[in-house]
Amino acid sequence: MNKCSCHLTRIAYIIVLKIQISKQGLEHMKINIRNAARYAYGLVAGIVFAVILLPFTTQLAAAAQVTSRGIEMSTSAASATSVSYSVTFTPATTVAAGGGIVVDICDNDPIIGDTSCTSPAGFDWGGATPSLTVNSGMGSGWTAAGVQGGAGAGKSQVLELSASTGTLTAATPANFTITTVTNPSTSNHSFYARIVTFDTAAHMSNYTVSTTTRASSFSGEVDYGGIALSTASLISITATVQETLTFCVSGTDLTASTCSSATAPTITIGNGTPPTLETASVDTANAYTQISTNASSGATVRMKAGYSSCAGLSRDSGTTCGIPGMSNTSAAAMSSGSSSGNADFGLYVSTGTLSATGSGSSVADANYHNASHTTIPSDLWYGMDNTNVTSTYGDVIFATGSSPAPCSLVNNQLVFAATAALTTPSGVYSGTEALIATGVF
Amino acid sequence: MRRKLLCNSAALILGIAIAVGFTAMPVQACSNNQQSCSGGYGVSEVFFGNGGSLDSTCSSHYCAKQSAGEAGVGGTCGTAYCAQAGFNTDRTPSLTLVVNDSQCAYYNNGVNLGYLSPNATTTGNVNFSVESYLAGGYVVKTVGTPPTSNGPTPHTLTALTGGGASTAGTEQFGMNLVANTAPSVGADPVQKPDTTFGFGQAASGYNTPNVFRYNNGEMIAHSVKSSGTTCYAVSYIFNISGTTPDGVYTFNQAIVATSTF
Repeated sequence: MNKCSCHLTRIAYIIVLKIQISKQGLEHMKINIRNAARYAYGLVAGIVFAVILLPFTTQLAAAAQVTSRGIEMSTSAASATSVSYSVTFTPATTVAAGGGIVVDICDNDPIIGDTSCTSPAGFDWGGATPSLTVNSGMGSGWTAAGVQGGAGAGKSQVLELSASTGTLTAATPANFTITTVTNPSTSNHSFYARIVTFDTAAHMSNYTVSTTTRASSFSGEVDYGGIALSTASLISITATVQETLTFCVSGTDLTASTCSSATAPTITIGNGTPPTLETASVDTANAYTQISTNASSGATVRMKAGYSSCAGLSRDSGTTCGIPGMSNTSAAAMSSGSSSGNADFGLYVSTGTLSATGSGSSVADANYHNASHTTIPSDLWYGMDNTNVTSTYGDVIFATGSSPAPCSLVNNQLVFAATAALTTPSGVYSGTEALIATGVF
Repeated sequence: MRRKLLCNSAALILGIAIAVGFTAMPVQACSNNQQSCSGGYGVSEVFFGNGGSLDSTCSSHYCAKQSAGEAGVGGTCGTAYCAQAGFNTDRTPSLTLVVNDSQCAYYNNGVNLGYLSPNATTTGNVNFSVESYLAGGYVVKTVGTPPTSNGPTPHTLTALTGGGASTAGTEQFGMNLVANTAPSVGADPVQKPDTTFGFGQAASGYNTPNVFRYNNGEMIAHSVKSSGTTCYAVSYIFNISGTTPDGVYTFNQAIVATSTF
């Protein structure tokens, strides 16, 4: 036992001794010293214990800390508006109907009772009437009764909720959302919330607010708790997808490959050796296209004749047009020259087919495709709009969809057909057809 | 007189022992940033505020700690909880979220990825860090619509909502928070100053190498207890197909950290 505690015991002993003397008189001067000492020890221990416990019991009776508390923000971007703050906490103490909740946003700390609460620049609960949604654990009847404080005109810092019928139940998580919050204007910045529950809505007025000064204690306080939040810089990533249009014409089918495998589309129409056009038949030859584009409005493909005044084939570079185009605007059957008496040159365009990894579609123009006559090559209808094909931009032969759209690796087969009339002069007839793809981005 | 001398001597010895315990810390026996340790345990100590240092002066064997006002706190953590100790422990909970943190990898990394190609995967990186004190942990969520193009008919890149590998030529957008090899990008979360202080980790779905994922509002990282700074490197992948509409695609992402106290 140290010196200090010995003195304390002696003082207590004397006090007890005096009490016993006064109560029992001088005839009881024979005091049991051992009992008195025992009483003294007990009394001192009790006093010390009570003194130690006093502040704790007082504090517990006054308020307890809410647990599992947090505020989830819908975005952490600085100065973001219409932000939702989902406030969750588990009360330690039940608050009956008519109670209140204060949520104070401070820039310096979350400590309830700290008389300083600076305003986070730019923060606002949502003006005078923040929009409140009660989610769970609180019953109904809660309203955003008022706001106070704030960093600047029109800003609010202290949110006050009151309930006519709603309650808070001990150990039951409560959750509500304010959807009208404006975040603090500083990025990567910590700020805090102080939550205090009150037994009555009227007692919320005890949470006095004067600019950045708060009361250190509040009559009617039930529970309390601090929360930390943080804004953060917005991440902004930019990437560019450029306009693409890949189109090729090939002498071989590209369905199983890509434009890199395209061959020169130099085709010869006729039969026999050397190939010749006959009047009794319609001869054909094939070319193939493949198109890919990310144009948002797809692409169209037009055909333009190499001769300005001949949509068909010529033996003198377009001066004369010995085998002219069919000159129709809707696909039609092509009869042999011997039966029709005419030399004709026409084109059939198939419906697009996709390569293995392709997507999208292509639709042939009605002038070059009849859905009832698509068997290659025995049952095809052909077309050739002589006017358009010889015009500046040519004639549309297909597009990437009925409502043109982006496509990838779409393949079309082009079947060129020709027949000679009985009067068609002999010679080598040729023609050049330019296929032009145009994307609308 | 003899008893008094004995008491004074004992007090002196105790004082010396305490003084030595607090001011002389063996350097070689402890791992980095642990101020005291035995063969099996170590005590980590951190210092907040001005006017002091945990290891202001070190010889080859000892470091001297200096402080003003005992503003420092120490901590020790189990699997679920951390304890803060010290003469003047900080009673203020904190949550610090920093996007583009200079102490983390990929600081000030470019966020303009240039032109995307259907022939190759384009990657990008940013970082963020989180520190949470006196909390029951934290959750970090991503908020933001996947990259969307400008123009009259905006197109949003297809997000890997279920997670998946990066495939060039297929329209994809995703991210994760770990080191990858296909493509070679990213880094695992780094605890600052070491794993005795930080405990944050990438969340499920974002913690598997070479698997990328994105869902708006989804948790991407978390810690189940108070944690020192954890640096997260976010890796993004962009893949486009031949039909991905042209345009300038922008991804505005908010990193939202929420602590439960």
